[in-house]
Amino acid sequence: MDDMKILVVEDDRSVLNLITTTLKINHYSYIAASTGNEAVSLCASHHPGLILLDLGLPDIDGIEVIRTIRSWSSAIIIIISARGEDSDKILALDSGADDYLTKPFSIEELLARIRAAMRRMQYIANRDEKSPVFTNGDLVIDYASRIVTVAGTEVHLTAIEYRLLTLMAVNVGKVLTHSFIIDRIWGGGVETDIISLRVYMTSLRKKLRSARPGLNLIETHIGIGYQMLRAEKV
Amino acid sequence: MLHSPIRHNSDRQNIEETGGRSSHASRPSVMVCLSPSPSTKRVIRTAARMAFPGPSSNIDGPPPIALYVGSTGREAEEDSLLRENIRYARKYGFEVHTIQGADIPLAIAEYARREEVTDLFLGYSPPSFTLLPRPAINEKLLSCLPTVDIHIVPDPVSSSYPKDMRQRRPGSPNWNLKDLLLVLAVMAVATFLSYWFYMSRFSNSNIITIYILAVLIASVMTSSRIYGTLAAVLYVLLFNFLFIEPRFTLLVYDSAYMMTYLVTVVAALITGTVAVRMKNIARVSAENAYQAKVLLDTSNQLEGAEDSEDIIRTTCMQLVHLLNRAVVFYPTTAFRDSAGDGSGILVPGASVGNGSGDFSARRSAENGSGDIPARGSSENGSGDFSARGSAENGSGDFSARGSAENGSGIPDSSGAESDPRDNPDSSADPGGPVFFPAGEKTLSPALLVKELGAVRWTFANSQTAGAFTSQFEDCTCRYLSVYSGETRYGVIGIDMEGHPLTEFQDTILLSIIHECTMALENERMAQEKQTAEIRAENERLRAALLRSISHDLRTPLTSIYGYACSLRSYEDDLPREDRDKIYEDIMEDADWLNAQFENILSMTRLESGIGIRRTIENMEDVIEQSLRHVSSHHNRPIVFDTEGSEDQIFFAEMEPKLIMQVMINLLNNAVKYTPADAEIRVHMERSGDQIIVDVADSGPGISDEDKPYVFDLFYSGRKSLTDSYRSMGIGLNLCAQIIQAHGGSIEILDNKPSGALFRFRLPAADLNSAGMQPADLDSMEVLRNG
Repeated sequence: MDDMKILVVEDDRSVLNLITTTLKINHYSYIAASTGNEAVSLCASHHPGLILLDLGLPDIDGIEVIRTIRSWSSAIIIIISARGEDSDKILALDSGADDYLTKPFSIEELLARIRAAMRRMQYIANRDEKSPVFTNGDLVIDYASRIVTVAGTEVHLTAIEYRLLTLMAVNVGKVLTHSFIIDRIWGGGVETDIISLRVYMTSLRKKLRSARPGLNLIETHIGIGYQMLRAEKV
Repeated sequence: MLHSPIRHNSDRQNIEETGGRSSHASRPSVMVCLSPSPSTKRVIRTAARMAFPGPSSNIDGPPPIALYVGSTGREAEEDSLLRENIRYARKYGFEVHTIQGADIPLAIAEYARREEVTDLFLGYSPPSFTLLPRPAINEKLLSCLPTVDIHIVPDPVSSSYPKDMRQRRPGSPNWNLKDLLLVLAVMAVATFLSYWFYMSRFSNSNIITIYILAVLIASVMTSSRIYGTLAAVLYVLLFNFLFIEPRFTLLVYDSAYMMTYLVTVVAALITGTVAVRMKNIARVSAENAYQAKVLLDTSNQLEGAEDSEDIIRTTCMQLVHLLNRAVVFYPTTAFRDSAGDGSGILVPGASVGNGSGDFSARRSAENGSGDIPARGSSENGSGDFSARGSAENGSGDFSARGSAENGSGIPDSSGAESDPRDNPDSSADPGGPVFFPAGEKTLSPALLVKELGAVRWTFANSQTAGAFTSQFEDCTCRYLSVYSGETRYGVIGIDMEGHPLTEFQDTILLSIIHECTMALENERMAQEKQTAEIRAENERLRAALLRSISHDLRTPLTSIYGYACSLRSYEDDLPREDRDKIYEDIMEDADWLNAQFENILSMTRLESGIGIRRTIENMEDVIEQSLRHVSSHHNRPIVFDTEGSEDQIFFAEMEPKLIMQVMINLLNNAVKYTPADAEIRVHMERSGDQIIVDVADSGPGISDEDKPYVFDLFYSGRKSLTDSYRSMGIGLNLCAQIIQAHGGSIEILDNKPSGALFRFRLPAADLNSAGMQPADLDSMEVLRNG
């Protein structure tokens, strides 16, 4: 993925400078935009594989930018937003963003997100649609026989736990919002379903962890949703 | 300015109205005297011009007074002219007071002096009809009130007044069959007695005495002077007919008897008049005493009222007791929803049977400017009745309390003791009308729905409407607005049952409502005062917080800025390790600033309640995310275990962001105040229905003398560090506030063998009550490998 371009959309000059400097030092190729319209046109002309998008743009709403870009591009979108704006994040994630980064962020966090995004892109590019087996580190899901193993040990899951796991496996690396998961698993949710979701998720993680202590493939995003991390070594 | 000339009887203050205002410190205190005369309207208009000089002058200070002095005991409703005038005065914004007194000018003067009236308006009084001409009212008033401007408004129609009056009182006096029979009976008894005297050959003078006594008795026992006169005439006729020669004719031989008749008739009339007046005085003083007692009762009860609902309830129960008529109260909240689309939230039957119609609960739910839009945007500030309602701690059911207390508070209205909730007609609709039945008499909701127009009109215009008033006359109820200035408290409706109230009832009704308004006003003032005090206290705290924050935020900023400057200028000259130190310091300062910023944000959120949404969260997730956050900023390993409770589920109801803030603060604290090699450990366990989280470090710990203060605002445990920027102690205080808001507790303990241990407890969530059935988990199909 050496030829992959990163589009940075940020209207604050010094934050833009910080991000682009970091990318330059780490030998990523990038293009920068400071308005939403510019971002959309650059995206159309340069086909970036990854977009770092600040939600607060001067001209058009960041959500609008995501929707516009998503209408033709499958590039990975990482949104950058301030903390305490969960509703914005959820809206952005539901509109097609893959991950988010909270201001203020450290360089390490930024680079980790970019690396995770790269892994997800790699996975998407290399995945064999016909392959009935999903592998993520120690986790192996055999879709055909519905067998889940962690480090070779079989894990017995209930129907809903299995559906949860496969939903996250299909969207590995992407942050899935509560409402997205509830909609996919239960089909339209009421308030109590969030609690049910937490119960199932806790039970699922417990089962995965009991097979391999210390395994933490599913990350909780409080107030937002869940994300299956793509293990570093495949 | 005036259309009719005004004679200023006071020479000392011959000032025009406009000038007159400037001579008084504030708006003139105007009083107008009402009479049944048609010219009174003119007097009212003239007085109103003086009382409200500007077209849109705001009413501040006491409203002008319209006074009616009832002297002859004549009931006001018998005199439609007087009622019309009273209504007219109210329309012009006068407060109508009715007093009783035989001596009209004296009564007016007394009242004027008590109310500190500066301008008194009178109509020109027509010549008196009494036998003994009394001095004109204005002359007497002048001598009584030397410091008051007395304005006499001439009456162009006064000449027609007596004729007019006679026309206006058709069939007067009203013959009362009972009184008539009484007179006849008394005269019959007197005749029998006299006949016995006559047979006993007593002198005629004894017979005359008997008859005069009979006339006197008849005068006292009947309701009007006319019966006394009738008795006197009967006496003359009977005496002449039965006892004077020639008997059984009306002829008189001895002309001396004519004189006797005249004198005795006059004597009978005078005694009759005196008797009637005595009766009137007795009645008036009884009424006054009763009124005073009722008002005293009311104000005593109102004094004991806890909140506005209580005040309204007391008032309405008092009215029920007094008038023995069913009463309904529409609180301000009833007008909020209905006026917009006219869908009629007011419909009382809508939630009949919903026994838990909690007046105050509904109030607290409605946090808006509960007011009807009739007055437009100008109302936004004033309609705060419902907003205040939310601050009140009224936990009881309004109607239930009403019925529970009325047995003791109001002895006579035993019928009202039946629980209104048992009766669907009187159930308290939340925010809707509240019913107060009088014995068996209740108001039917279906009927009230028809009269909502009148209710709304009353509320919007702060005036009286309904039966026996000029507005919405066809209603069965009379509606009175409970308001004070711009603040409206609601509308009281009284079932008129087709009969008007007596003047006395009217007066007392208005007095009670006045008392009620005052009580509500006082209540509102007290609330506002309390709110203001709380606000002032908050302001003080906020100011202290701001001072502290601005100081504490500037210090790290200064260091960041300074380091950046020195790096730009001398980076190449600085040795490697110095530069590393500077980088680290900059990062640390920035981290610290960020952490404080998060604290301030959380504090604001906690205080305002905005964006606080409680959900049931897995405490394990919350702690893990907090650990991720902290370790991404510090390079310190933190151990997290749930030893002893591995199989438990740690679900708790919380606002996760705030609980995360607690964890981050505790962990940051541990990192900050312990050496780099000290261990930091987070332990969580479940004990009964509580989740216990420990954040322990192996640092130096906190001394016992510091322990009581660690959760105080602005307290910094390390005295030696007070001068450094790390003195901002809002972190731990915020933790305590957040945990308290979640119904938990936080404490500081000693870690073994050394170090500090912060322990907080949160109530664990009961998943069964949260909608998660255990069956959901049990019945789940376990996948079998095929």
